Amino acid sequence: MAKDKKTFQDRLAEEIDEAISNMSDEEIRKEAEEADDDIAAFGNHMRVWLETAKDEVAEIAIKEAKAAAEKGRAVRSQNVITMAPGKPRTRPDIFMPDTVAARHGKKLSERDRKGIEKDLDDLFDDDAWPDKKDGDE
Amino acid sequence: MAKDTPEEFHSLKEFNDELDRLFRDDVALRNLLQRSRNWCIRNNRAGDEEDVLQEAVMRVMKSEITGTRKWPKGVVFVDFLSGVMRSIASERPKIGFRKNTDKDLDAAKDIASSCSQEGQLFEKEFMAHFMALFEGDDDAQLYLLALEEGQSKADIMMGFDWNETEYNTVVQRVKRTRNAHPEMKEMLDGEG
Repeated sequence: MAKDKKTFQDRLAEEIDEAISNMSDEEIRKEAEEADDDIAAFGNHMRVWLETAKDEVAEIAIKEAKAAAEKGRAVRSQNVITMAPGKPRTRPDIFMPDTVAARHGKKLSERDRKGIEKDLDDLFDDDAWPDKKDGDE
Repeated sequence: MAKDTPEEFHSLKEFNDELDRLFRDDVALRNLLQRSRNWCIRNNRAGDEEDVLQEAVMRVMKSEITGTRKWPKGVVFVDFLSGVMRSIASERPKIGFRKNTDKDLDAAKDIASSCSQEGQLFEKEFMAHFMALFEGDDDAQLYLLALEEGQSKADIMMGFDWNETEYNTVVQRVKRTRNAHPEMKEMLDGEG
């Protein structure tokens, strides 16, 4: 038979653990009585302990949650990048706006003046407008 | 195996409900204490059973929150706790691995090595002395010899033609005698 790496004591402890787990309530009570152990007193003692243990674990959980939140905040602040204020882009010297309004009151060029005169001629050229029909106001 | 998938572990609520149910049951608590005592005797820590039981519950409560050690589905809750107690009870001999305690690792390794050699010798001595406690109880001695050989429960039952009740009776007898002699190691060391 192939031997496992467990020692005799390991195997014995496993066997006894299983035997204990299979004990009926009656057997457990009887064994406690024989050992003069008060299982009710032990139960009460353990319940009191459990309450304090739960409080302790809750405190730990709160501390850990706070620490995690702090860590999260620290990570987030590192992710915020301060951007340099934007600078207006300088236009190249050769840039020439092609609308009058864009000149910002600067002196009109010869080309501008000719353009304006042509616009005015077109505006006042009656022949350029269609004839009025009868009944039209 | 995929770790921490929800299907493989009980939820925190299921764990808390079962823990509360267990702590309402005096008999179940007594049973768990006996299982702790068993692991403590195995690791020569008789008397620490209540500490080990509380430590196991505490560790599991903490780890259920952090998610590091959850209660697997398909495992009976008290069996899960018994496994944790077994692990805790066996921790103390691991000299050299305790944080802030074993600072000199080389010395600790020497101690651990000598402990291992002593352990093998101790196993043989323990077996001889333990068998002596069952003089006149042939069934118990046969059972212990079979166990020492690594035979399974099924093998032992078949080999000795025992039924389940006969087998359990022998194991219970061995358990009681063992519980009555947790000082075995001290006896061997000449301290008892």
